[in-house]
Amino acid sequence: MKKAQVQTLETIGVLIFFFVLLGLGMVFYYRFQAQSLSVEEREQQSLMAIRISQQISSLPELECSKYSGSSEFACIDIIKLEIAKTLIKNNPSYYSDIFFFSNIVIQQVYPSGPDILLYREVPKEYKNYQEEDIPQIKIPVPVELYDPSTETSNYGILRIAVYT
Amino acid sequence: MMKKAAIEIQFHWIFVSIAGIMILGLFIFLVMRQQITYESRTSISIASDLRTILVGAQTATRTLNDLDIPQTKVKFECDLVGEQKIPYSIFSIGNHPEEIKSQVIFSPPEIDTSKLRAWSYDWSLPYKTNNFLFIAIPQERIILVEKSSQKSKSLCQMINKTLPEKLNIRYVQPNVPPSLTDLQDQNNQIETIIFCDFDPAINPSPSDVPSKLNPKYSRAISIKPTSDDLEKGTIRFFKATKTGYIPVEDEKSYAGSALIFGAIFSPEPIFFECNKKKALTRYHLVSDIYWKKTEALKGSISGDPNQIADCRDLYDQANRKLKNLADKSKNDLNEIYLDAKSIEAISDQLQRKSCPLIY
Amino acid sequence: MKKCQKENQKFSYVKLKKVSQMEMMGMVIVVVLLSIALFLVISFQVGTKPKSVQKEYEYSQLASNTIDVLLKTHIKECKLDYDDVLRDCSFLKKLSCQQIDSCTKIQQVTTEILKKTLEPEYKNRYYFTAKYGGETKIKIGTECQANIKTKSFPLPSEIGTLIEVKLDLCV
Repeated sequence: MKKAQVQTLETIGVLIFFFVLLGLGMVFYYRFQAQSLSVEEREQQSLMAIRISQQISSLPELECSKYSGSSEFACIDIIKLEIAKTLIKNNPSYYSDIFFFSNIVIQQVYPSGPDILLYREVPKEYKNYQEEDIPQIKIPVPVELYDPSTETSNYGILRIAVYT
Repeated sequence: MMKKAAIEIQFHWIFVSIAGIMILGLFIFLVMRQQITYESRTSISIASDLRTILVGAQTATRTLNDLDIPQTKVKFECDLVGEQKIPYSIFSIGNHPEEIKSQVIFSPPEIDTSKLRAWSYDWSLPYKTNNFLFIAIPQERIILVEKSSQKSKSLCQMINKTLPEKLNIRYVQPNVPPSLTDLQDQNNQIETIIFCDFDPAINPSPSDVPSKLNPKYSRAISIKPTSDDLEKGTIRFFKATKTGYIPVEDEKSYAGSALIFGAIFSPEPIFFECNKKKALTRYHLVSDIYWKKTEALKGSISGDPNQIADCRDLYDQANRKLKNLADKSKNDLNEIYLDAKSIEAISDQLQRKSCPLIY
Repeated sequence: MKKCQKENQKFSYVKLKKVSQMEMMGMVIVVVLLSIALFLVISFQVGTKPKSVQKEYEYSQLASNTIDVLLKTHIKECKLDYDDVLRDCSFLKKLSCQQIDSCTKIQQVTTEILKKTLEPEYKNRYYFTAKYGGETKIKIGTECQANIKTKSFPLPSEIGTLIEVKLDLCV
């Protein structure tokens, strides 16, 4: 009986040890997975930021047209910009499909001028946070700010910040 | 003692079996959960990548992009739902759907290939309001059928000239071999037959039927322009059979050549109508901007008083038309086309008088 | 009989002790192998840096768009666009922008724009030049030592020669 008990205990001991190892292995594996998922999530958010920047650069609501006849890439018509600001605000569900959770500002660099907020939609969990405290991916894109009434262009920066 | 040993061995084996089954069960459970998680993760990742690729392809207008995607089944759906017939459009990979609210994409309903062709073309009436994206697979063929009339010839030639060369296009002319019936089956998954400015007869003569093509993969449309510039007219969808063509639903209207291509790349009428409605939603929004821009230009123009008066008069004329185009309740493409033509004429005059352009 | 039983017991006790020792050794080997495997995996993960698609896109956009937009910018004091003022600075030197010569004006405008566009992220890590006929007319920033994202734009002058406008981002 004693020998059998010892053998059974030995088997149980081996099993416990095995499960402890398995548990440790699983903990390491899932931590590794979690880290890899967060890297992938970050990549996806970067892709989204790039997507938004590409879309804005060719948005019919903003793009300029000049006497040359062709539309220009990375050129924003400032008269349309002022109107689009209100239009986007009045149609949030439509434009949230394009801009998602992001903050899009046009900075007038030369000559200096006030920043123009085109779109801002913050995820629910960050509603009460300050802008600087919300995790975001930023992409600055230099753009031409074209005034069709004077046919001149100013230098601006399209600042896109995608909330992560 | 022998009996004890015998019982001990049996109990030992029972114990080992139970423990083994439990461990095996645990591993199988973990592997199955991992597989589900992995499939979901892959679907989401591919969907996001595909979305980025489609946006990129759509950004540059009138360009054809050959896209390499992971070999996976992608489904595209576009339907009008509810009493108000609101467009609901998605693409899905596995069990993961992604809604496409603003992008207008004409594509086969299901794609299971690693190579796609994405062609973008702007819908300008008269100003650009959208870049339509057309998705084709390498095993797809477009057959243009011309009849003996100038309009038919012009339409077929316009379509042939505009579609990218890389697409597999066949042009069938009257009394010029090969005829429709001579066309060989190339094992294509999609065959689209386009009848330029005529409806195919419901019981056509044998020479007017592509009898060697597999009707499972064939469909036909007829495009009948009602304006001289071919930019306005009607489209009808047909189901192709071995012996003829069966019309599917009533005629649909179009305005702007981009919608002609939309019909060519739509698998069925509802897909076309759904995307058309999405396009019109954007059209009204962009027209609203141009309407208000014209008001702003009217107020900000400076220079010679005579020139200012001329420019303002033209802006007033344009504004009346733009107000109609911005009206979300006005979806008659005939009226939209006429207003767009008026604005185009006004824009030419603005250019001649050196007034700041509306678009 | 009793002597036999005692000897059997002693033998099985010794055998049991050796078997246990062997099993312990087996477990130790398993643990050691697992530790080595984990160590390799972790060191591999730490060693590889994740590529940033967004950063690459940002560099290429900044480098190309900065020059494209800069050349189209209207300089109010000169009543001309940047590219025309640059041409004057390179070749004719006739222009006066509210009593400032074209080269000084170009230098001022470019410095202001690049500072607001590229700083603070790229502080002192960019190099802008405009060269004509082998001579550097405008120079802003410090030359990059390694890893450059560059965009160059050949601007035709009035007599058909080229003014080379270049922006290097030190990444």
